Amino acid sequence: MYPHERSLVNDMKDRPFALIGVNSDTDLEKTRQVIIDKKINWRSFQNMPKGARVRISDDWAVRGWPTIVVLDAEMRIVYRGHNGTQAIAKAKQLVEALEAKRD
Amino acid sequence: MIIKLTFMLALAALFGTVAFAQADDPVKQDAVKRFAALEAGVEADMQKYREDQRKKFEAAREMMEKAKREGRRAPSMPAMRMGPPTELIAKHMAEFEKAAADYARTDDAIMYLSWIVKMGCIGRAKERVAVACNTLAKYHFKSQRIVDALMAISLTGRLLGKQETERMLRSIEEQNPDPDVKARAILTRVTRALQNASVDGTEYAGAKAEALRAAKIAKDPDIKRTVKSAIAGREQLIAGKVAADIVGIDMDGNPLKLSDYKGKIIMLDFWGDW
Repeated sequence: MYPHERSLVNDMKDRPFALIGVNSDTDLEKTRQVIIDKKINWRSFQNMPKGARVRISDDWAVRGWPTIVVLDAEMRIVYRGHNGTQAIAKAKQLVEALEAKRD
Repeated sequence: MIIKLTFMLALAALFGTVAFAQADDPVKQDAVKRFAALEAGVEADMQKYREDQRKKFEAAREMMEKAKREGRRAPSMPAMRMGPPTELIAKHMAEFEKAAADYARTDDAIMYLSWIVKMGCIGRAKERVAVACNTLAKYHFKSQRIVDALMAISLTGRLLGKQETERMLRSIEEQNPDPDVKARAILTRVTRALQNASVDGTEYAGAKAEALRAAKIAKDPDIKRTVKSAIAGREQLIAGKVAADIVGIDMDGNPLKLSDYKGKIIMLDFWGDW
């Protein structure tokens, strides 16, 4: 999935799109290294940073990993599921529609 | 099989993985070690079985490719079974039954009986599952450690009938004095409807009412949180609903707010590098 997401972020540069992660790994240092090694080019929340009482994934009722949620410009949920290809297609379609609306 | 395993995973995800309690006295440690040894035996046989399956599959693939190269009609690929085969389960069932008998009427029997119920459901061993369930009902429904058997009991619907599964879970709720065990028994009974029934239907409404009752009974904050999250997942986090904001910190410790990206299309990816 990383290469697809990396390409998506590059393709969507300067367009109304943001890929934001929620990372569930517990070893922060190790994950930072993964971000460098795998050239992950998007920002991520820490799912449960030190001191937090609730995981973001619990608030979002995530029961399977990875879970992908696509939100429109009003932050309405458009897609929620585990299929990266479907999520990317939906996001691209929404970006194009949004750009067409703005033009 | 796939549905059963998916349901087991869903239960595990919803209520947390139910681990067998580690015993602290020598006799109980013996029970835990013996259980681990029996499971290791099953796993060893499973590995061998998977390897055999893989070899068969590879051989069939080679034959197929050869047929293709030679312009002949390719034979069809053999079906691959993902779970343990019935005969493998039957082979090990007696060992677990013997252990359950050795620890009869003690809490340590629960882990063996749970295995018999769980694997018996997969292997369609109806009589043996029924016997194990009766033993659990007769001696263990009042035990705190019956939580270790809830997932297994939840799988009995297809074999013993949905009504029997429901009756057992209701009995645990009624008989067990521990509020958290009661709550988990309720949640095990309603999970499927809570996760799958249509949100605007009466089945979902009933399951939700029961889940909220479980959360009220429970002392364990994890159970309360899980119920809240499961209901939110069904009702608030569906297509068309406005997502709640996330205010947190990024991987470098800098503040990060989801709503800062409002006005753009956002792809939120819950990921991990395991």
